[in-house]
Amino acid sequence: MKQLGLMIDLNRCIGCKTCVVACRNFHELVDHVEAMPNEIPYYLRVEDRWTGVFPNVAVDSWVVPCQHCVDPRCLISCPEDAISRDAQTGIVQIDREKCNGCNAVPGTPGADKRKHAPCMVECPAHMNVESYVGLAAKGKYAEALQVMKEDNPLPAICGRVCHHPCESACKRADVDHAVAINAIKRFVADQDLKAESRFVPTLKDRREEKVAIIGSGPAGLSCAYYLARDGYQVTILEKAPVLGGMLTLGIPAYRMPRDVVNAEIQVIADMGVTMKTGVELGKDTTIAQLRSEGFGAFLMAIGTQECKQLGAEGEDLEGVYEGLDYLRRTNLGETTPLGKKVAVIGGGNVALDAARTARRLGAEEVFVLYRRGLEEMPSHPEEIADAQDEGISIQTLTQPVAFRGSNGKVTTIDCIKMRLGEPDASGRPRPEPVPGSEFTVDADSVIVALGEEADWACLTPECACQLTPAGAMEVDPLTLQSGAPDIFAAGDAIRGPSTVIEAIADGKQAAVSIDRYLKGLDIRQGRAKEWVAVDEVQKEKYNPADRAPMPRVEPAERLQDFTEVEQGLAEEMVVQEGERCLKCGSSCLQACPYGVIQFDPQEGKAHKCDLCWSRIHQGEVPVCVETCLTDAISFGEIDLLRQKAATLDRSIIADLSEESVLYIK
Amino acid sequence: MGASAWIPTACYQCKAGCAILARVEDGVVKEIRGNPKVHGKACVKGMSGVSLEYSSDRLLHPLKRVGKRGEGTFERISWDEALDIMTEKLRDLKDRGEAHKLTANFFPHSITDPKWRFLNAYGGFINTALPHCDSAKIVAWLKTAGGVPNHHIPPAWFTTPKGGIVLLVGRHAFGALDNAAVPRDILDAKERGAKLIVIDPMYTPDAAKADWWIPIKPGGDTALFLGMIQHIIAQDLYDHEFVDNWVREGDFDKLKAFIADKTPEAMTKICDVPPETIKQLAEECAKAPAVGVDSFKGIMLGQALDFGHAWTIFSAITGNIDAPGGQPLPDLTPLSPVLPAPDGPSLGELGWHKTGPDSDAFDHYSFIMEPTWYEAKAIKDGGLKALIVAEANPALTEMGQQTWQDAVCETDENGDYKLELLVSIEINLSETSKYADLVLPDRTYFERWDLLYMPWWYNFGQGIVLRQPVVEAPGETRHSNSVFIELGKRLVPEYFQFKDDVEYYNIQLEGLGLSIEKLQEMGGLWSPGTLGFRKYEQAGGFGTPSKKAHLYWEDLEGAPGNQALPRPGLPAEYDVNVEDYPFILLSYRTIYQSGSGQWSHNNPQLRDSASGMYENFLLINRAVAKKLGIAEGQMVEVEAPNGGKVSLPARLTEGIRPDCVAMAHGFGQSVGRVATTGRGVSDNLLVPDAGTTLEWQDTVAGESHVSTRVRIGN
Repeated sequence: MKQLGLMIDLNRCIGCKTCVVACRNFHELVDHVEAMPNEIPYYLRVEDRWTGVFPNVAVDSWVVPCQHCVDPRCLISCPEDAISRDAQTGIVQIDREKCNGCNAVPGTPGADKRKHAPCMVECPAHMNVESYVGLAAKGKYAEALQVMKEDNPLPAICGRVCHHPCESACKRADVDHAVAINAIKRFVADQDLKAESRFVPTLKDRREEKVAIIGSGPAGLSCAYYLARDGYQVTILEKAPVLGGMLTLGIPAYRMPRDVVNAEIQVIADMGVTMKTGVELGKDTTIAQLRSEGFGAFLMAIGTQECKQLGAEGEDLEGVYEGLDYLRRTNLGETTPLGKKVAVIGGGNVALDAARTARRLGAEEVFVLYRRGLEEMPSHPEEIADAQDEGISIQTLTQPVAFRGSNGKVTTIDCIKMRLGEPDASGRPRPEPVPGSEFTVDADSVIVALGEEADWACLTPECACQLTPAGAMEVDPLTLQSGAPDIFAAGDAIRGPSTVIEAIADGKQAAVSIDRYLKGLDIRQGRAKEWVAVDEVQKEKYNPADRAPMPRVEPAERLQDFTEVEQGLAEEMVVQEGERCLKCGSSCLQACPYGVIQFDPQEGKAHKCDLCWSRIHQGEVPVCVETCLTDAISFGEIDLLRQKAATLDRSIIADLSEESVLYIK
Repeated sequence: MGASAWIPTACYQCKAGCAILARVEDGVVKEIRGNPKVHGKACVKGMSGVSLEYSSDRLLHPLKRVGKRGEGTFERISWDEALDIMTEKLRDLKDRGEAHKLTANFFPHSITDPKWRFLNAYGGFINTALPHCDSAKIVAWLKTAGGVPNHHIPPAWFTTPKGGIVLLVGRHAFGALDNAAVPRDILDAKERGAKLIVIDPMYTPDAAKADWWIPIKPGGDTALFLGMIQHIIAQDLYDHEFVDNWVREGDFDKLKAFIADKTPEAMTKICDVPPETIKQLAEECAKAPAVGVDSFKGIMLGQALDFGHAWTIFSAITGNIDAPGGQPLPDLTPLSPVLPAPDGPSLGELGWHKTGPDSDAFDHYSFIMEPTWYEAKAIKDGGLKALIVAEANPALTEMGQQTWQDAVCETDENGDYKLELLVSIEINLSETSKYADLVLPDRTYFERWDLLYMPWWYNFGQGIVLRQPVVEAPGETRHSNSVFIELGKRLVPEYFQFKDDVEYYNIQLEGLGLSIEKLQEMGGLWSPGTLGFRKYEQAGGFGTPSKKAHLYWEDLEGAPGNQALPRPGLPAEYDVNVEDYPFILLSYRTIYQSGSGQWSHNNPQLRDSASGMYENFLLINRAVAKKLGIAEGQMVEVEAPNGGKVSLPARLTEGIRPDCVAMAHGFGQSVGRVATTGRGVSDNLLVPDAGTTLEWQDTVAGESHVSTRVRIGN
């Protein structure tokens, strides 16, 4: 194939935007009679990049048209097969006949369609939810999986335990209930796990640079996936004897089946990532040693594995356990004697996981003590409901103050009732003791799950990293780079205990930073992105059915073993759920990383640069090339353009020339 | 696609008036290109002309004011009624012996403009924006070399040789285009091996492409040039051949005596450019095969004549006058006169700057048109009684715009407006229209004839470009030229014995053996085909009285501060209020608004963020902003000593001197569907009414100061 493309000479582009207007006029994108500023579609835009400090300043202006990607994200995201890539020229086009604007009704206001769907905005990894939901509605599961994996390499895992802010933001809730996005994601990802051959992305490159990732939790795995896809030699070092971090050591199997975790890890291993378990940084090896072995960058994805103490009298009695420690030992196959009556202290996921695990392992009475109200519990509401279904009582507004025992073993807990006061620094109401409300409860054992923090014993003196007062690693929030330029950090290690999807999102961002760092490129450039959500949902065509409930194993049966409680949606329900999506935005617009696709409100269709298809087939150059005020743009076969760049003695700017548009200087 | 054709014509989105092609399909203009016959280009403003043509804001009928001036309430009237009102008022004025109290405010596209003929025949004056931009530089070149290098004639950059220097001094050549081909030509010159040097307090798009950016203190350009001249002479690097043969005898000696103490070290204190930089620049310029300086629309300051003078001296002693890659001088091929030719009134006797109370201040006034910035004062003083404004918008674009607005509303003891007639001829309603007694719907450049005879045509040598109608005009629109021809037929018929504009142009073209029809056949362009250099050699000298270059201007010995040789100081307004108003405000031009008017401010493509500017903002040095606690995008208040105050978002940049802030010119509209949707503020609210600050003004060459000191409030 003779890939056609553009070459833009930054020595000549003055950022005047003549091309933008010329392009609009030729493609008739402007209603000259009534057009209003900031509402006119454009196929090209111009961006400026400033560097330096006064008076040593430099600025480059560069034109951003459709990049006619080799692997177009818009193409795979389209549920209607309306986007194609020409086999001869590589030009990516939208078929206006096939495009239905993602079910848009003609006359749909365009301004909102150009924004992002709230689900995508709210997702920490900014997954193109609308696209994979739309593809699932058409039964295109393989395509949907590919869309998911652009932003999240662990969709089967996420589809089980994600706290799904996408659903909380879902505009369908204005009609009845949010689309069951997470259940769709799980179904789609599970199809791949069942498939004879799983989707393993094509590696884009083959590079020699070595990257070490410390920790094999979701942040580390996500970073490994994207770096491996970029061609890097990635090694994961895991302290524990098993891979997965919190996924396997923290979350119990009835929520997170181990075969699912292993399957998604296997894909990453198949991409060539080396994974070593039982290797503890700071003990078995050090950053200094790894540097000397040629590792060029590091990701600290160590999670939060140290349990916080309550600081109450009697905490060292026998029978008082730390929550995460209890889960970890159980998940590694050890037995912890709990007795019949188990108290769990705390309101987070670890607390509830510990409580539900204890129930499954034979504790007859498990109760949770939590100092605030049910509303304030950080655990997911579904999990609270599941726990209650399983006979676990939750005593809210209760604060343990001391553990009492006999013969060194805990027997009772002194408690005091609490009431809610003014909001504290976290925004939640501050619990205050109710004077004179002291009481005592009996317990054979106590599991204290009050939160976790990172263990930075791995940081040997040669690392120039800083920690925050809260014990997280201090990083640039945009790039995740620490004070040591070659050390990056992600997930709970920088956030404190948080969510799987945030860890996955961090892992991807860290991969982008590490890639740029190793290539010697500006790691901040162009990454601060403002996500603006669609304000008002358009009432486009959608399936009127109400939300499909998630089938669950009956509570009585659950306690028998660690079988997965949530059983997943059946295929017909997945399709129906997909059809319930209101299509707040439009799939390809959301998929395009360059933001170059436009939406025509009159026709209710997407459209974009086609490199002036009609002109180039008559032997003319694209309009932008013809009209450029400074003759900065050339058109032709990419290979010939590369030769031309060499003739002009210009270098191709790697971090801008990602696809079929070359930027030279 | 129906019948589609590319028709050659001339753009008028801005004063550059580039030769373009318009693609017309089924009677509708669809696309614009530069005319390839002149290696032409069309810029973003030019391309956006299509949106001007079909805007729903177009004025389609004559309007008559029904409320007070400024209220903007009108009723529709017929053309007959409108013309009758104007005729009656102008006849009355003429009968009173006050014909010279008519001024028409327009940009003369060409010396063939029939509006100009009407004024000469009737006895009124023309007033343009030229004194804002470059009258001082034009006067400097007239005085030194006797030629009129109008602001359309920067150095012909396509003649800059390898090793030559392109020197942009306070000049946003990529923003305020002299011709759409200029940016390409400068970049081509660079690729040939020329050097681009930008002297500017701001890091402009030009600076972004420069080999060398010198962030000078605003107004320090005269000092910089004097420092260079001193160094070049002291090091004996000047062009002996030119100085010996072509500089008036005695002038060089006077210069040498004057310049002795203007050393780079001394000049540094004024311009804040290190002495080593001044010396290096001087040496590079002296040794380069050619240095082209562009600053015609650059230094808009009250002491711009001093800069213009220093520039001409610099060009002379480095041998760059009328040389390839240097400063070209024009050559005029005469057209046939349209007889009888009116003489026109004497500006020096009857112009309002000479009939008013400040007459003495203008003793050395040398420009060929009224000082625009004195207009409001002239209205108040009774020197200006009828004002016809065509394709201009002084109510917004005049320094101290509020004073202008007040002046046109000022009444006499009988309660009658002192300015008896105000007419606005426009494509869309403008701020000026709101004050006008009559608003007349103009035609766009796609709907009218214009014979553009420009000896200074940038990439064409001396030549003619025909602007011709390419589409039907809507409603009752009439071109302002036709309005003036009609007024001429009614008021001074002896000078208007031709049918219309086309016949008027045909008479003038006879001298070249041409006609409009012939020009159409020739693709709308005519040129003798050359851009001559060193024309003074064949012509036996320059157009000055001595036929030599005049470096010393003895006639200005008595001008304020003795201007026989350039005064190195900063503009006066920068030396006052230094403590209270710590920043110098730079008013800069962008390609989206520059040299244009209401029609481009109201153009949706030029106000769209993807293809123009939605709003202006205050550029401020990042380190300074940090010190002041100003964040990116934060609204800041800018206050000037005249009490003017505007509020706009801050944009932090490394591309400006810490002692300056900058604001793009051309914003702050109150009329127009698009213009009032886009945001922004007018810099002219901050600049004092020029007529009230005569001591800061250039009363010799008429150039206005468009700057001020400011402070940033909360």
